[in-house]
Amino acid sequence: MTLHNKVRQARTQLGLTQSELGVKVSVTRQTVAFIEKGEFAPSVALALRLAKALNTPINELFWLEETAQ
Amino acid sequence: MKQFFSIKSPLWQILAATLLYVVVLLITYDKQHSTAEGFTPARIGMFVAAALAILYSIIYTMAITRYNKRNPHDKLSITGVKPAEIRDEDEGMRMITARATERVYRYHSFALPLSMVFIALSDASAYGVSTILFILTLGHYLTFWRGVWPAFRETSEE
Repeated sequence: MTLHNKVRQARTQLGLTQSELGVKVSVTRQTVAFIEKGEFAPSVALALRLAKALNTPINELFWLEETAQ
Repeated sequence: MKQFFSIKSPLWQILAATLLYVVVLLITYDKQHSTAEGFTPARIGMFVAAALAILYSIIYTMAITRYNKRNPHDKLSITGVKPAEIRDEDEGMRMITARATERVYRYHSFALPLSMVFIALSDASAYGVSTILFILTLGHYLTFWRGVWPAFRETSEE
């Protein structure tokens, strides 16, 4: 199972930069970039903060997909 | 390029280790070869290296003070035991540091035994041992740097 997200899409729809979103959820811009690239799976608390900041239900922001064996 | 010289960059520790290595080599040389009193070339070199070490300490302290003024929420301690290059601003940076320290652990798990065997078999001199320790130290910081590189790579907004 691989974690996917549409953080970048939701962020750009709201016209936010990575830095601005980082300030809203109390993380660095680099961490926002890692999440968007799928290089880092955020904690539940951070995922909930992102969902709130981006006005998007958490299950629409993050989801799991089967990985090909 | 700016990130390359950031206070969070292991470059500072590499510079400090290099200065220390030069001082150690000069002390070793002076102990082994110099019987003369006064200012021999090795002693002059030692003083120059010591002056460079003091200059480094002043610049490093100024860089930390500047960083602390710009980042009051993430202050670094000049005298503390936590190295400045450890990234722990948030969970993403802690993940990067965890991956980098795991790389360093793996590096030491083979580099230390190999060095011990090499020293034992080669009957290394004081210079040899100092050089091996310096190479180990360089490897340590370069391995860590390679691990935290993604945090330095992410320098611009996307």
